[in-house]
Amino acid sequence: MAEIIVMKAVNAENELYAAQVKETLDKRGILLINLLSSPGSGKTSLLEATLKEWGGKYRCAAIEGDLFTDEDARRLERFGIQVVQLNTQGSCHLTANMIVKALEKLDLKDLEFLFVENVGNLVCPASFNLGEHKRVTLLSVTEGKDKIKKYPKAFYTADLLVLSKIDLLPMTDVNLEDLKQDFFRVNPQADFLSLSVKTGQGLSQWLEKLENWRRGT
Amino acid sequence: MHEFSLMESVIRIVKEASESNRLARITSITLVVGKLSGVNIEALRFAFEALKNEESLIQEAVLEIEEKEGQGKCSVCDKIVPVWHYDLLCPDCGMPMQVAGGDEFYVKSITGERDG
Repeated sequence: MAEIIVMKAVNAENELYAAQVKETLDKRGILLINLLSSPGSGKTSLLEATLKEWGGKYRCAAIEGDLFTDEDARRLERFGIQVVQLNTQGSCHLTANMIVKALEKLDLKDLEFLFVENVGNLVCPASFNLGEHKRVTLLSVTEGKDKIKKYPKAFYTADLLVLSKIDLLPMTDVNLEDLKQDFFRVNPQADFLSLSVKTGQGLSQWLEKLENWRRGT
Repeated sequence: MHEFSLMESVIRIVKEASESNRLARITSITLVVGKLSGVNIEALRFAFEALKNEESLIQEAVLEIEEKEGQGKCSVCDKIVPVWHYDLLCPDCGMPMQVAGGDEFYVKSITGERDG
């Protein structure tokens, strides 16, 4: 009988692929943003608004993660950008090896921003590094006031929390200050902004954030 | 809720370690699971029981799980305190803390019998 000390992290394989993604993109100066949220928080709508506002100012591409369908990819292709649709066939999150494969399908030349829209889910995607430079977690005000406490890891690992559908705030029982405080308790380092793609409120701060990240500030 | 795919990764790690150490039959696998890792132990055990019959190497193995408590470290007073959730304000000075332990999930060791 022999005891072997292994000491190997279960996500070690994913971390290797994530490092590969990051290296590939760093060489070309492409910023990778991983968008997390529950289904229906407005990830695709935020990307649509971003692409519309920029109107070709930056070269963008997107990787869309969904269990099934290519509906989100079709929504973004209208803006004339390259989109790779990943269908996980039931799996609840994207992994870094899926991004490695998606990169092979993209022409990376002159790209500046690559957006990954993760599978709509506040639980599992939080545990998988995709090699992203920044992680953005969206929370729509209509999801209620308790989600940060209930699903903390998606907020703990975020570089930025985007509170979406802020125009609907008066229709909910969400108190903005309480929500900020909940977020601050889970992730004291990260930034917070609120916006609405319907009214355009807060959109300029979001775009400024993306540009600052790109400049490395 | 992705414990099945996590357990598949565990089994891959166990197989690699068995091959490089020429183990033919694994009798126990020890995992370390932090309470802030987001891994559900009950679901992990369920996945192990379901998957072990597909691998003769681990068919008779027992799954041992060591749980690690969550720890936060205050960025100002350096105090280390137990953390049960991601609630990261220092109870003493109210300043932000960072997770200092309890978010790990790794294969610690395996026990088995050598060939022949």
